[in-house]
Amino acid sequence: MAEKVSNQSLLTWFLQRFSGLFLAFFLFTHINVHHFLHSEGLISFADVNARLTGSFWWQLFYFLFVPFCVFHALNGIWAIIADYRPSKGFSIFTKAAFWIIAIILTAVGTFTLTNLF
Amino acid sequence: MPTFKVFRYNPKTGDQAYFQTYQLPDVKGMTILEGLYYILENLDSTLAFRSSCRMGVCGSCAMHIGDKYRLACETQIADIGDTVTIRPLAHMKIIRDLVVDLTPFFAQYEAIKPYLIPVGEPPTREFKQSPAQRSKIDIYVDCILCAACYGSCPVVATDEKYLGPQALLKALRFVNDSRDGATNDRLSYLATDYGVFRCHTIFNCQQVCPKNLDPTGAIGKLKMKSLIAKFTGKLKKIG
Repeated sequence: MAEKVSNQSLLTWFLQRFSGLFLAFFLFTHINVHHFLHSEGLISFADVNARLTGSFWWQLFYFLFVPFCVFHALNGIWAIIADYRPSKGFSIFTKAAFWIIAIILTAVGTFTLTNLF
Repeated sequence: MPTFKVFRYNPKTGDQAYFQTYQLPDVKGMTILEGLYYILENLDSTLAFRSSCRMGVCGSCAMHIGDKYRLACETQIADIGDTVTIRPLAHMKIIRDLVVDLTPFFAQYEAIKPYLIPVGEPPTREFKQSPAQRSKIDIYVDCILCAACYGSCPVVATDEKYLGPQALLKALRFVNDSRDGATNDRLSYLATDYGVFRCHTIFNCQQVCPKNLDPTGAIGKLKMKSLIAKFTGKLKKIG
């Protein structure tokens, strides 16, 4: 047991399940609100805009969705890569690339949401 | 008459691996292991395979029979069908035919420290354990180290440092043991990147275990114990 090894996979495993539960709740709510509970014809940009500007909780809901979705997707891909015991150099490169992708996607998502209000 | 298609490979000759076909007599109740011995004694004395007790205790004769890993001594030919395809355990180097090098399997077993580590000085007489305490390790002590679970695990296939289902099942046996005092040390090691959180809960190990020990369930329990230890600040840094 002398080799130095991290227990990062404990936290990533836990957060993958936590974000997965949130996303299941999010998708159920999102699909219901947009496709089943919307009674006045097809949903439009104005409807979405009205919902987001009219409620702090809806804003929070969608602002949380973006980082959770990005984390769940990229962490899932990393879990697949980690199964193949990548070299240290490849791990550092992949993690750096994933962080950059995560920041860009979260920024774009947040920017889009902000412009809806 | 049953037909055996047996995996043949001798790395010393450098020849390609192939399946050799043997015709066996139709004997009621004949096991796969008895069939292999029939081949060895009557048809082909060059066939290599492991066996010892012939009664499902030693775990030596685990191999891929038909559609999954089984003990050759506990499997009747009639239960598989007229044609029986036999391969060695996967993920380990083949020494010859159905004999594999089990060194990585036993290295992972050794890594989890499969012995009791008591708190402080051991008692002068025996450790006392109530029936309720003993029941927590009941099924896990029955593992016969056959490596069927190890051979069936796809995570082992891609990551040779992963501890594997057998070592993790045995680790729970010591974590659950009331006489053991190294629970947090054990969980700290099991929660590393080579441990329980590499398991994808594929259930292959549970499906093939000849003793029905449920390694997948044991790993699930270790995950929960590791998480609780982490969030209560009991996990230690390894190395």
